[in-house]
Amino acid sequence: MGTEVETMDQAVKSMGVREGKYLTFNMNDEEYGIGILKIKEIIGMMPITTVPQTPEFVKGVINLRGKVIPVIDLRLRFGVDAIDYTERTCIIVVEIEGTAGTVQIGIVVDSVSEVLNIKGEDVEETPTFGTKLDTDYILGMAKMEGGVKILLDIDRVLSSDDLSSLRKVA
Amino acid sequence: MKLVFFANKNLSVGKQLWELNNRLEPQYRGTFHETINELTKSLIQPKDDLNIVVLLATSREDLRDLIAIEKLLSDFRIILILPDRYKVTISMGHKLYPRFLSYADSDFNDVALVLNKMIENYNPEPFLQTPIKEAQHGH
Repeated sequence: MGTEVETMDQAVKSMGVREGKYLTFNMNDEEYGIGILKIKEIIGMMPITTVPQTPEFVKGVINLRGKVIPVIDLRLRFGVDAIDYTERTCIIVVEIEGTAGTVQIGIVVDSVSEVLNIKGEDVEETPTFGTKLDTDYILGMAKMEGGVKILLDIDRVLSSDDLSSLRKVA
Repeated sequence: MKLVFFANKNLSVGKQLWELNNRLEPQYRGTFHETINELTKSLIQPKDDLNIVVLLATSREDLRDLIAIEKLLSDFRIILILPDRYKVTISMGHKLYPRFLSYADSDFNDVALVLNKMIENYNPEPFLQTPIKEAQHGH
């Protein structure tokens, strides 16, 4: 009985944690969401300075009003084929919390959609896919308008190794 | 410079802010938002060297909603207009670290002055140009 109550408590708690405003964006014809409080700014594409000897998904660095920010391409990070950037391609500047503190990074996405209020009850746990697939970077699946939006835990999209290499780049 | 207003134009206090925005030189005029969602969308749009937000909270509920998005306001200079002068409200307001606090029952002349000063500091008149030109014409 006690365990059941604890499980229920945990479920309600995680529901509350995942409820809130999300910025949704499109990538490879799928909709993703990032918690709005993680977003610093959305900017259009701007010149990216490539940095040698960085992983393929690291596009380089940008100068955002005097601040050098590393930029990654989410398509490449997720192993999706790269496409040419269009006028809808955006860089979402997010604040990521790693073990060594907070770091700002730019994430290239196909296009930005909207800000949505997502209720806790509309977010489901990530399916296990029956394999040892690592889905830690997925916060949950939001059931919206007959479809599903993938909510990302942006702090976990990059590993701590990735983050420390990005810190060096910036 | 980026200037953002959060106020309900249907309320007389909100209308005053709307009029204040319209009194600004066109290049300095801000965008007006009536809901937290609209405001949120605007806050994450490209910023500038100077970012100012004028927030009109007509209730403590409004203030709570604003505190919930406090992180998005961190790059902005905040002019906050509170619904009342109760200590609880003022203490809540300070959670947003405003540069200037005013109240919904004021005439907003104070807000206009502060806003004007912020814009003036951002874009001071090129004070050297005129004297140099005058000097050239004079000689």
